[in-house]
Amino acid sequence: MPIERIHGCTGCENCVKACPTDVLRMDPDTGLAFIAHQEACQICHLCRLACPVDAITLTPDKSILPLVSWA
Amino acid sequence: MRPVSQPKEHHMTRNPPGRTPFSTLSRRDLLTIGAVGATALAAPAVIRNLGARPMGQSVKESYDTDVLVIGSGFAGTFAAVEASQKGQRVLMLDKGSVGWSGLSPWASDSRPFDPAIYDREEWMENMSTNCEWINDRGWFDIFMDESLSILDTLDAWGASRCKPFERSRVFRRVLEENGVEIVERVMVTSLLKDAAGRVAGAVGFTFDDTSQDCRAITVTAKATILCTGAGAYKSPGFPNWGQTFDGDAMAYEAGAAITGKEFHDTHGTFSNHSAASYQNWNWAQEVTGAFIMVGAPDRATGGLTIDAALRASASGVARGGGAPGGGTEMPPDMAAMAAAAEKNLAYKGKGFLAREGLTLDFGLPPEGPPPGDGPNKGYQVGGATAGMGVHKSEGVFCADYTCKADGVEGLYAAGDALGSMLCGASYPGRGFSSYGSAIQGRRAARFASEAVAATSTSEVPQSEIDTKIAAMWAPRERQQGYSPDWVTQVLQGTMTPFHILYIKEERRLAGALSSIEYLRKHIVPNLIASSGHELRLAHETANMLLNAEMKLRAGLFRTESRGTHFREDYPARNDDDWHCWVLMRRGTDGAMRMSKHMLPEAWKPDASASYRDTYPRSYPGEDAFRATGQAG
Repeated sequence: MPIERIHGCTGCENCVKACPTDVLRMDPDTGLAFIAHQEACQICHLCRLACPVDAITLTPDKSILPLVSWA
Repeated sequence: MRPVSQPKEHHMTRNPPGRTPFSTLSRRDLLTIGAVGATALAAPAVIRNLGARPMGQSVKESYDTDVLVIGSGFAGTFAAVEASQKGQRVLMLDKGSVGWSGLSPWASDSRPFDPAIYDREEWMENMSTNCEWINDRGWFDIFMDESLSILDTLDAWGASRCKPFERSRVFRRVLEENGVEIVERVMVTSLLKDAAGRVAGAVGFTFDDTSQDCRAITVTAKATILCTGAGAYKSPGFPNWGQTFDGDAMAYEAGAAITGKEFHDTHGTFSNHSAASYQNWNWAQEVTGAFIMVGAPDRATGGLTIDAALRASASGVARGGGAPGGGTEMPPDMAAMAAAAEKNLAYKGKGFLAREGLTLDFGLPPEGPPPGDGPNKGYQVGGATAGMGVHKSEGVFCADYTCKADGVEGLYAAGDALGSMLCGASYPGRGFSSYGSAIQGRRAARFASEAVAATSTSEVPQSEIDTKIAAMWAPRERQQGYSPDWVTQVLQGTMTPFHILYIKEERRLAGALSSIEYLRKHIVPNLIASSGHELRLAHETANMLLNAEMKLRAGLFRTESRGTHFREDYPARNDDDWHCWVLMRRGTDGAMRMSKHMLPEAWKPDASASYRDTYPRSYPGEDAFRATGQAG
């Protein structure tokens, strides 16, 4: 999967603002970010780069190979 | 791989454990879930919208401003700052947030023209050869006049030597210092017109409905500048899923002409994790400052060509024991690389490159490569950016370098939303996009500000606002229909294969067009959205489908080959008939009208030069086709 988990979030909201595809939202109860729309993750790593405490884990595996491999 | 779409229950926004979002559940919804649970086995052809809800009572936020800037990348930031410095009140809307959305977070190449050290004629000649002679030479003159001042401005802001994601903070600081009002995470869906028919603002909605419901955003403005970027079909391998041709779509609906759709971006990605776009962009993090390209654009290196698609279409390559289609096993051309490096070294140390801090630095990012990047990323594959056009070439057509949409008052565009044809039929290497956007943003704001000063305002009728907002909410209110995810998968499957989008032929294009027309006519009016997130996807899907129709129609219309537009059935350039841009405008009957905008004779290639010298890159079958005399 693309974005896998958020662990150690401090609630700064940087990742929510950095995500261009609305994957992340703020939970009003906990004040922490959560993964709301994992399927919309394009694995661009901007959330990870924006996170000041390195709380976000991504993996590269989101194989859509048949579409782009052209064979 | 994404799951294959099947008739299914349509679930609401995923929520944190133990919590229900404000917007998604009501007593009525819960009753609906029960009812659908019982009928799901009947496998309906369309799916029920479990999140359907009336939106008529949604909160409305209204703003009034002088200049509305939509989008906050390079074009938007330069536009907003310029308009503000011209004394205008400026409001900026963005689908993401400042400097983070679209392709601007990744921009690192720039190729400012320094007249003290470079030869203007050489740059123009090389640019035209690479762009195959339909690049707008007027825009390239403007680029060469103004690109150095963009570097100076970025330097003054402190944005020329920071990483791309740090640049977003600089953009925000500069916008705030200039008094620009910023409203973020808003999907803009439609332009507003005043009683006189001028574009006078836009409507959109906040899609984040986790803690409060979606709100309608209405902005009335004396001038509107689209800095919305380009788009793609949410294609794997490129970080532009947030870009879906929204500006083109809104401008087209408002009566603007759109151009440049027959040409393509052709970035690749890697087979083993094709969607891991970051790995394509290591170098975006590599440099301590903006990556200043040195030297003139090389003549006829071709930049982003359709070579990968051509390889994929050649049997034996695509289906042999080597890399699957589009994959390249060709060794790099070491001689050409060495020659380029030598040429670059000759420029190094001259002019602005000698400025303190603006050094080329090919080191690795200090935090190391991204997870998953490594030796096993596989071979390079094509189609990574399917749907995307040539930077600066596709988009809103402007006839006079003012950035104003031709034939539409009050509407301007800049950057990848403007079909300036700066880069013609093929992106000519590297370094023209971000500064090109900045130049156009600044210029659009200059002319928009002049127009605002000279224009008396006219009210936007309330009925216009109400109609546009009702259309905006419609997928959210619809009880059943088609999910944006499914429609997007069909779109991708229809357009992405190399033999449709890149290796073109009349019957194949017509076949794809038939499917896309069906989707636009019968499916788009029945898109459903169960949440704010999905409502954004519904509008994005409609915009992508409009773009697909444009790309297919433009591809059919241009019966020649040029740059990244390759027609198997017309495999040669034809300067007599096609030294032009293709314009598309919505007819009064709603049909797409095609026309040619012929280019100045003076922009044609030198008639005394040989064909192969004018067009160094050859297409399969080109010589034989020219020998038949059909090439014009």
